[in-house]
Amino acid sequence: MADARAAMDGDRTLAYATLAPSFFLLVLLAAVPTVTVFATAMQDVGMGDMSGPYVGFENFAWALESQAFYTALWNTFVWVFGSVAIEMIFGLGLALLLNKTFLFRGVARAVILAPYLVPTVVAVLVWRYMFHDIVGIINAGLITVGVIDKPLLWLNSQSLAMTSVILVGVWKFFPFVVIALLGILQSIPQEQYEAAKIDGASGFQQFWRITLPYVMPVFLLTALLRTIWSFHKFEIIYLMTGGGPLDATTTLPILVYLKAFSDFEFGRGAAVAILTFTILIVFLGLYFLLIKRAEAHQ
Amino acid sequence: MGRYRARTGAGIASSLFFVLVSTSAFAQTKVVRFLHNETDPPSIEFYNKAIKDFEAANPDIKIEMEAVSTDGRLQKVLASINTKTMPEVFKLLPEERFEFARKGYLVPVDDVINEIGSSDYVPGSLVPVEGKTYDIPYTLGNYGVLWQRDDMLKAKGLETPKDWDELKTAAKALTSDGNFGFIYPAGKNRMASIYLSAMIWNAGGTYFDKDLNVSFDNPGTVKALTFLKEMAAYSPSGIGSYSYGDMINVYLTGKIGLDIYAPRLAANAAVNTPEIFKNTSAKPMPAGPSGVAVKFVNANSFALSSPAVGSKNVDAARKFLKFIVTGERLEQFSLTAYPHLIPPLKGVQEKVIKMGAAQVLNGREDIGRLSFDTSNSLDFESEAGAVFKDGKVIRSGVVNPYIGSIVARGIPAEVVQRVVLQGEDPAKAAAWGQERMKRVVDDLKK
Repeated sequence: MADARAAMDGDRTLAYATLAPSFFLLVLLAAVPTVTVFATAMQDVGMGDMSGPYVGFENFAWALESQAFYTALWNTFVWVFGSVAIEMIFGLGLALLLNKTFLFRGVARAVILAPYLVPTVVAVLVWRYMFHDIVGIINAGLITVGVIDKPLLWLNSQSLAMTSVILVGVWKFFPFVVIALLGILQSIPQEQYEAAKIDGASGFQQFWRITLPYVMPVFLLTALLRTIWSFHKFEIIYLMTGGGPLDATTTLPILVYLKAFSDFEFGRGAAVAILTFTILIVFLGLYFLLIKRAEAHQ
Repeated sequence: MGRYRARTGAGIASSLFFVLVSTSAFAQTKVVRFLHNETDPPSIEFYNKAIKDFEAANPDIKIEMEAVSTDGRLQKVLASINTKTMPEVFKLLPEERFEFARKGYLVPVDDVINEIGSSDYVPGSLVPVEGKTYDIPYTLGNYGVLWQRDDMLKAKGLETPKDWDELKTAAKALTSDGNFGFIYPAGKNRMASIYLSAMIWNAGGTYFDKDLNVSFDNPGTVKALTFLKEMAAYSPSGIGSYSYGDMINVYLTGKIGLDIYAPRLAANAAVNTPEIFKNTSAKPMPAGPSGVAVKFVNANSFALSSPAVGSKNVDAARKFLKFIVTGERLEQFSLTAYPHLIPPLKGVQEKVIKMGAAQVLNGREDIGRLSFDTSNSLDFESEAGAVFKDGKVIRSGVVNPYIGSIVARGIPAEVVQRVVLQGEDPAKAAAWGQERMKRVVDDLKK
């Protein structure tokens, strides 16, 4: 008995010892920056300073009372839900299409991945040129076919800028949805479709009764994952519009950047970052809940 | 066994010797890190060669160059300051000068300037902070040249506009058949702030008075904003997102008649669109209601960081700084984008004009001369309390430590966007700008 306990203690020590490096790495990579940001949010830190006077929750109070924060929050929701909704619907449609057998299906699947593989900076620069009012191919094309008679201001109209950014975001990230859904579509047993056909089920009924229930857990997980990733997406919006015109595309991550590196109010920027992080935690909670339910479903 | 031991011992001894030798060699080499944002391929090529030459002449110094994008430079600098790993030599923006000098991040460079000869610098290009100079200009940027399409003006029977009224008339006449009479930047960017500033000065206003009180909400600002609002009708509809690049790229499409911008336009046109270049002339900027054509001319400078923020080899850095901003290097660097990069040393300018005209602009010296004319100019730091009289700009001599923070926050650009994109009344937008600027300055004065 004593031998068994000693062996168990030894195993435990070994387990802690082997876990320790990962634990310290995790602390170094995740906890330290989070605590640093939180500490910065409690100070009035200016340009080129490491720290500043302690101001308690003043920066959080500023954020929660500021119109800029709520505009950014609204813009973030428009950006996230706009892009994720289109990505999911479009992605599912394409995944269904790519799940069919047709000539050059392999090539089509590879081509679909292309936008996801193009570096964001390159993609954005190309899109910016395509959206340009004078040299842009999109306006030129639409004018040529007679859809519009003068160039649309894709990136500098307050009503159109967010739509343009969402469009580029969807183009860039829908391949991820396609790949995720294609994987689950390919795992659906064909016998179920054959049985349904024998029972006289229509194409829509097969989709509704067989495909959708199979796909749904992965669909929801992918949607949630894309929501989380889109929530803190920075570079695509910043490179496209810089948050403008005025504040039309200023999302929370852009506001954090502008506060820190344009206004040099690092404390306020950090406070907005912490608030963004808090909202993300809610989504993370949802994500884990869905994972649990998906596991239970399986 | 004995042989094995002897061999092992010899191995260890030689390794130790190698480590000692290489360590002492490393200790003798002084590393100078050099951070800049001149990322054009010809500029990089120039710096690589200059560094090679410097290292050959100074074998005890090694230069480690890091070229970053203009947008990424500030983050890099701030992160390096926070971690006390600042490169010894770095590109400093005017808006950082006062703050960095006051906090002890910079080393004075008056001795280097005296060795070069302070009187040879273009007036106004050296800006002291509390009696000491902390940065040395390596090029000047002139945003006040009127580029005109001679063929388009001729076709409409127009002369070069000399003032805002003529400019408006010409722009209106040129706006037809898919062409635009004018172009200006109204994006949420620094270029829009630069442009608005020149317009305000041309209209007789300034951001600050000579006592450094915010005076943005003045008749000059309202006139400038009203003018820009009117000129939007003769400009491409996309100006609301235009920045530096668009001022050139859109002109090079051949659809623009008049463009007030920096000489990089000519450099690009000469190389990429020779036909448009042939029909393009450089003319003096039209005067505003103040009666003066005020140009925005700013200096691009290098500074030395202090040991307080991690600089390790200040003396070696000082040597490299002097090398890179003088002599043949200054000429060669200026020629990498002639006539855009104006050498700040008067003694070098004439030679560069002649060489540049021959090498780049098909012998057209007039373009270089007009581009290099930095008279009647202001920049953000020198504009406080400036007076516009008898066709001349009279500077107050006050160096403004606050305006950099206003420009960095993009407030002037936002004022332009409110007027041009939202259609806000210019007087109201000027009042909004005044209120925001005052809040920033009050905070800084605390």
